[in-house]
Amino acid sequence: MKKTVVVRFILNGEEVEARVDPEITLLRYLRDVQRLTGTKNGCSTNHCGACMVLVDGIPTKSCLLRLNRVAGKKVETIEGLSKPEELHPIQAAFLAIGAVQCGFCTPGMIISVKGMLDRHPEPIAEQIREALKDNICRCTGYVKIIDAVKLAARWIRHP
Amino acid sequence: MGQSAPDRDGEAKVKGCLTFADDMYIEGMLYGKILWSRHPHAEILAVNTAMTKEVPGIHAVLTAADVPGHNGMGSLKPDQPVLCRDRVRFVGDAIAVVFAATPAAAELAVRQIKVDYRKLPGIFSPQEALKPDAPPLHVGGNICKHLLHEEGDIEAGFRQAAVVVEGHFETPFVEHAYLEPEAGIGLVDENGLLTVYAPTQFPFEIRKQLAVMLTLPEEKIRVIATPLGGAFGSKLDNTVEALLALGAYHLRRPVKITLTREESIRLGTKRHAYWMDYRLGVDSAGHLVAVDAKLLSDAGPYTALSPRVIDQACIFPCGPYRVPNVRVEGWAVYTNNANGSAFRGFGINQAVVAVESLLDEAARKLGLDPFAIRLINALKIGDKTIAGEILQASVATQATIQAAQEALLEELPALKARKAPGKRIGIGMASGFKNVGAGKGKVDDAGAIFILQPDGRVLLRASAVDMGQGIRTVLVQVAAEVLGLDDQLFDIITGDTALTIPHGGAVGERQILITGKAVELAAREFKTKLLQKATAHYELPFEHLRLRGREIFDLSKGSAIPLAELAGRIKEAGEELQVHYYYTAPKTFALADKEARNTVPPEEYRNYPAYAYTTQVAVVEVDETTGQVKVLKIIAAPDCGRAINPQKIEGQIEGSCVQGIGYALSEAYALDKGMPVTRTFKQLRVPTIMDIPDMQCLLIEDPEPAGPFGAKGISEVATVPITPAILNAIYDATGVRIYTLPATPDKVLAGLRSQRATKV
Repeated sequence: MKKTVVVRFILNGEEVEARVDPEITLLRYLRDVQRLTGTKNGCSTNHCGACMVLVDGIPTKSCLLRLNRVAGKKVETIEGLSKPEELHPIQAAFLAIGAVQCGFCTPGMIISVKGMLDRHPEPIAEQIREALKDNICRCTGYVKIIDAVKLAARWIRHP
Repeated sequence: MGQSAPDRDGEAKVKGCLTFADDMYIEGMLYGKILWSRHPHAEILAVNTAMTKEVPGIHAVLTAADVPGHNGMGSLKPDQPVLCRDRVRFVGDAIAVVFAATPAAAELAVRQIKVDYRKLPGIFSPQEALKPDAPPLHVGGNICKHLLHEEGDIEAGFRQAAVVVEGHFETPFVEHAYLEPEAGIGLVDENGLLTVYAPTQFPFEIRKQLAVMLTLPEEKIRVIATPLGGAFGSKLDNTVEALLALGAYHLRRPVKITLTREESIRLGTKRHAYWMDYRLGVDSAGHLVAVDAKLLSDAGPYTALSPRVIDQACIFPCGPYRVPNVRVEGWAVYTNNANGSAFRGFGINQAVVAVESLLDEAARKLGLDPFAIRLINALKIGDKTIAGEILQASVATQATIQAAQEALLEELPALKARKAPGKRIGIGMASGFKNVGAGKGKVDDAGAIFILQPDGRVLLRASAVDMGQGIRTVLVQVAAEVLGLDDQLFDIITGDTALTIPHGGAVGERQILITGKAVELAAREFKTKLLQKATAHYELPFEHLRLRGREIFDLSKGSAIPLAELAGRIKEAGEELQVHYYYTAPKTFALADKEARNTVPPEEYRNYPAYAYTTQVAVVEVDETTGQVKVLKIIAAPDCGRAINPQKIEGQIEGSCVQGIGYALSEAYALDKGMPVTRTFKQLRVPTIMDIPDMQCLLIEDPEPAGPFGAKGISEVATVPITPAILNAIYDATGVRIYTLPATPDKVLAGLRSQRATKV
């Protein structure tokens, strides 16, 4: 009989009770069980940042994180960010500035931005870089991403 | 035009709901796992799959015997086995594929397959492969391609030189490092059509090859390009498509394959490793009088696109300059290393490292400013390239050099004021040019289909693939501009072999020039037909009708009819309004086609549909104690013909420059006797947000007549000069010239140390 564990946590504001293999990672749970495919699998070795989610508000890579490590915690994914009719200011800013090309790194990148702006609403360029150093983008060269974060910060402060 | 229209798929991307291949889920689908070769070169004596039957959830194990037709993929030569039968030539060779109910079952089953190998001596460099006693990796030997091109009289040229500079340069294999590992789904749809969903840059070419592999007519196969999570040339060749098609063919149910990053690195094509020996002669006035270049590339185990890459390196080896006497010789040679093929820049990135470094040296020896020596030699309209083409339009090399120089002059006071202990500042520049369009004698084609929908929306089915560069957005801008309609009124389909006209794929920065032109011409026809329908249905004077926003205006009466209403009437009448337009770019000729060069009239002789030019400046800071190089600023002046969407063009330049920084300073795909040393994403050492400089982008617009509204592509050329600009800047800062990429701290330090050692 395969061993299962029960992990209770909050996913995008809703309580979840997951009955799963103890080895399952948060990323696999999100993509395969919840079918929330916004969070991406880029490298499986904790390096590229495409799998970034917020765990209790902190940007956290999910590809190697066992699901039972988020028991009792709040997990937020890209799907939780936008209301049905309205984009989050970070999402809107990325679009306005043109900071999205292929889009694969984008969910993880936006999650990291949210985690940072929630703590540092008026970031300077160095803080932005520091916060995004674990999110790799191969398309944009990061220039417009930094501009988008600055714009998002302004829009959040002055809605 | 000139509007930075937002990305059409942008909302889905920022919400995380754009469906990439691995995001696809089909009820009942099986998961595939591949058994890769354990050795870089071996004979396969036996493949025993008996134990896989014991694995619960296993549905099928396929081997070479299960390939119904030709067991090989490859656009030029289909020599890369879908599943290897008796020989493996690199560790990315596939021997078997397993399909099971869960990924875990598939992985377990793969481990049950026993392969008996007889190891063969491996060839791990092109130099080894060229030795007379080297074992041949293919019938016919180890030379994948060889070419020699001569212009003028090279010895006479060198005799005119006041300064001769030479050097041996080496560049490594590089991995594309797109964020999306290859994935896909194969299935047979309800009409019996075998369909492959995969992130491919070349759906029609893949379909062609799959048809031969499965002995099916092309019409019985459909390839749909899923949104690509980056590609940069890696998704032109077959990756998972053949095995998906094979699985669907045998199992008649949906199959999915997703590569891990490690598998993606192992299998995926790479930028070729090059060894280059260059000699440049410059006269006392700074004119290039002779270039002698030898370029040796490591093609790896299979042909892929290696012949085209070396061809291209040999057309552009001298930079965007007039050179009357040239001898260039190129080789692409088979080895058991990584599979060399297309990577943004396509052979030019390597050559430009050599020519732009040496041009810098020549300038210094003559006491000439690096911008000045390039301006002296820059190609202009009416000049002949070294391949014999007389350039007729949109040649903006000089403009890019001047723009970059002016921008740098403004920065100089601030740069000179920067001082940090133990750090040296250096400035370097380089120019480059590259083809727009596949050219070289190939048919460069694309199509556009416009359909008026019953609700008044306009559907554009365009021959294109969007890998993030934004072609889908820009094509709609072109259509909206021609038609005078609101760009929100359009829907666009791309990348589907069933719904679009066959085309040459997303390669050679060609799509805005070629597909864009098709869209422009198709839109003009569609506009005429639309207005004719309005005339017929409403008895309006044709010459007074205009399209505006979402309506048809009658200027004579000042009244408007919504397009939706006209569409409704057309439908009621049982009519339809569609335009199918197929466009081919003017004929081009291969470098080796000497007959064409001698007989085709000069105004018609061309190697490519168009060219793009760019100049870039790099400012670096070198740490004297660690050898660490930090790029402080980049000034990029690309010539894009016409900037239809400036934001998207800047995005391409910025992304290209950062790839160029990686190529210059940190990236290399390493193998040890054919076994990957570089296996994880971290080891690829691609630049992070911490590594990027301040970037200034100056868009130069010198219209290209063949392009829609004068536009032409730039997404590859922008990667070209940045690397030598950085190398030239390192020299400027330290007096150390780097001849082997990447310019890692240990190499810079070694250079600094040997300088101190020679100072007595």
